[in-house]
Amino acid sequence: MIDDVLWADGNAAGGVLARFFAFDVTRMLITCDSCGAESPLGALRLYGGQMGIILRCTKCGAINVRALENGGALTLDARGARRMTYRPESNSS
Amino acid sequence: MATVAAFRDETPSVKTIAFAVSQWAGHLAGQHVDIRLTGEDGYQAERSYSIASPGGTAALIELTVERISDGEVSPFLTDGLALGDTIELRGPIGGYFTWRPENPSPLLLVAGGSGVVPLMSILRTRNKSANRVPGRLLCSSRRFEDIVYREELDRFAASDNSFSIVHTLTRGAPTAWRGETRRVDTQMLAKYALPAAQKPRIFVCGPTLFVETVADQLLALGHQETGIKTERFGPTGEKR
Repeated sequence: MIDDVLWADGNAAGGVLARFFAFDVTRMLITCDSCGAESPLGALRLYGGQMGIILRCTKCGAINVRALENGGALTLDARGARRMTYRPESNSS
Repeated sequence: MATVAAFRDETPSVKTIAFAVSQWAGHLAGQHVDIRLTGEDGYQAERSYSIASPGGTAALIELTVERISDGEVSPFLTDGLALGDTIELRGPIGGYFTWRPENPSPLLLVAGGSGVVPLMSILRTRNKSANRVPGRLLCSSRRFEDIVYREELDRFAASDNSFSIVHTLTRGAPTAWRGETRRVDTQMLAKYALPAAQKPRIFVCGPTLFVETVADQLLALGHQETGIKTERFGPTGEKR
């Protein structure tokens, strides 16, 4: 039950991930390596702390993306994402 | 960097702060900024805050911040800033939870408490544009005096026949209150949410449990998952 209230949306990770990517990542489609579900990064479940962030699949809960900030170093671990698809021109707003 | 340009009290616990921003390319309705505070000991705290002012290229943006008494950042924003102060502000961020006035879909906005902030940016953007597709805001607040932007929302509803606003108060209402008086539930959504057949574009923003409940019930009412965009505030009420 505690887990039910501890997350926010991946959308809020846009600022941290902007340090890695040259485009807005919140619209990027992430394919979960664990269950194959596809979701915009902005809709993933975001769990965060002072050290970094974890983005989990909304369907199966597997970790898709981790970003850590430690001593000035930025580390991105995206092995839980089978694919990342970005369509620059798509406009779903 | 951003410079504090104005303050406005919205409710006893919610304040709007206007910032003059430099190197700002403009923003879309629904986007947010990250604010980073650095203590004298080097300790840093960073939080996300929704932009309340309408989308566009204005170099003055407004954030509306709820004072969370045990928050790390919000008490500083609501009580620790003076006009002319500068803070570290980064943005705009997030192209996912955004709305453009060219969008032809009917618009359904569901707000829990200060979750109304990014939805207000959408409403203000809509009001400035020619977009008059049918729309509705369902706004849940604790008490009457906690309704953020109440007078401005009243003006929107009065001046625009295509947009309606429904308020619900979850912790007591004035005697003459004509709105709803309970938490947003299935019956309330069935009554006020635009029909799923109209394929509305839906934005839900508020505390995590509020958003989760509303999104689940909208799905149960037949709305498409891809049509529902959510923004949760997380456990502390400060985003992130």
